[in-house]
Amino acid sequence: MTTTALSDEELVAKYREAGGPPQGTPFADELFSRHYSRVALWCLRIAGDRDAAADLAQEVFSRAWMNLDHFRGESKFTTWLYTVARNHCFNSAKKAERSREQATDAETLDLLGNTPAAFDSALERAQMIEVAEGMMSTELTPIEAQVMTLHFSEELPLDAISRLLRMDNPSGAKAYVVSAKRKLKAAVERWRHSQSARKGASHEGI
Amino acid sequence: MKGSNCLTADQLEAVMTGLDTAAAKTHLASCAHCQTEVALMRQFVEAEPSAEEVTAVRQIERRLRSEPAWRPAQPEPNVRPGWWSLLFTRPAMGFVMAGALALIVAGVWLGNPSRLGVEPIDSGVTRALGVEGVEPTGDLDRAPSSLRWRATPNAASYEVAVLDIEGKVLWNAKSMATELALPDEARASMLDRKTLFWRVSAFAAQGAPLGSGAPQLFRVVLPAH
Repeated sequence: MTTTALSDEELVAKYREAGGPPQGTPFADELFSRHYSRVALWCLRIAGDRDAAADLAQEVFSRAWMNLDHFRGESKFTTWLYTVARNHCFNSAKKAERSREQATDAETLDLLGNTPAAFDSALERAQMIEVAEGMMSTELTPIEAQVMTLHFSEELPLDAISRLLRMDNPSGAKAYVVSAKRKLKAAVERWRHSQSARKGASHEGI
Repeated sequence: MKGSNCLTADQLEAVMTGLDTAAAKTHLASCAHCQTEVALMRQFVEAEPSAEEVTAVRQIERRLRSEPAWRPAQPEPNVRPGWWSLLFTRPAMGFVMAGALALIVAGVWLGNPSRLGVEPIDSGVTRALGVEGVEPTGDLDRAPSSLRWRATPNAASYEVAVLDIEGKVLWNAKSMATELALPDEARASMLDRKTLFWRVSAFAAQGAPLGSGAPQLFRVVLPAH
């Protein structure tokens, strides 16, 4: 049987049986070459530049090769490779966006019209983040929620998000951030009113 | 933000293939993070390059195929290094030097100081692993013309080397016979009273090492005129 007739998972098994490189190299070569196009496209959409994407793709395969022994076969090889590519590319993008550090929670809280210092305790702060996250799934469209998650939680640059989610509108992901913020602020206002009303009612009860 | 209840990679894969459980569906309905992950995974697995991406993707693919720099370094083929390479290590070099010194000292005490005006060194043949050097060994009044060793059972070829006591290889060669003539340049490096040694290693037909003989010490001691 030739290597081309084997499934991805069978190639990993053959690679292991051969004791890794060098005897196992033909199996790994066949395995990885099946995914060159997929990883190249993924990296291109994150990096937005062919040369940077090529570097990124090489790093992804280098990482995948080094960690091939950790593939346990509980998922498809493609899923495992996706995890490797996703984590590596997101980490690289984060490094490139150092200036955005610390933005995550603070910006989420700013959406609520507060600064972290305004909260009395870490518990309240955590509750507010939870509320904001809950609102993301109830108040936002799926695409808005994805943009907000990728931008504020994964710290991906907006242009990378636009490419990854195939947005063809002129302002790309930025437009979704603007609309999502507006919706969230409105939702927060409603939530505040309801909280005040509830507190007022409980005080009256006392 | 990812929570502790968020779906694992294989659960996300199940969502992609429609094999997700009711619990996964419930979680997915209210989790922006997992919804995003599913969208991203779908992009990774199913995406096709657009017209403006095709060229760049092909170029990146070509680079991945032509520049295997992303591959980890391949281990060297399992070729047994020449035994003399071991002599370049500090402990081995010290051992050889100490051995040579001990033999010289033993010669001073046990040998006949009047003969040739210098002390003879040990001329006994050392045997190891069935590989056995025969000559030269001990003090010689001229540079040897050849190296000779006993045939080793199952050996198809031999490697021999002449070294100085610091482990520097002066000459080495391969042979299928049990004797090798020393070329003039090798003989020229055997200076008067310079302690040297040589050693032979035997190999089977497929190149598997069978063993190495013990170092054979010798030196050229030119007669006093």
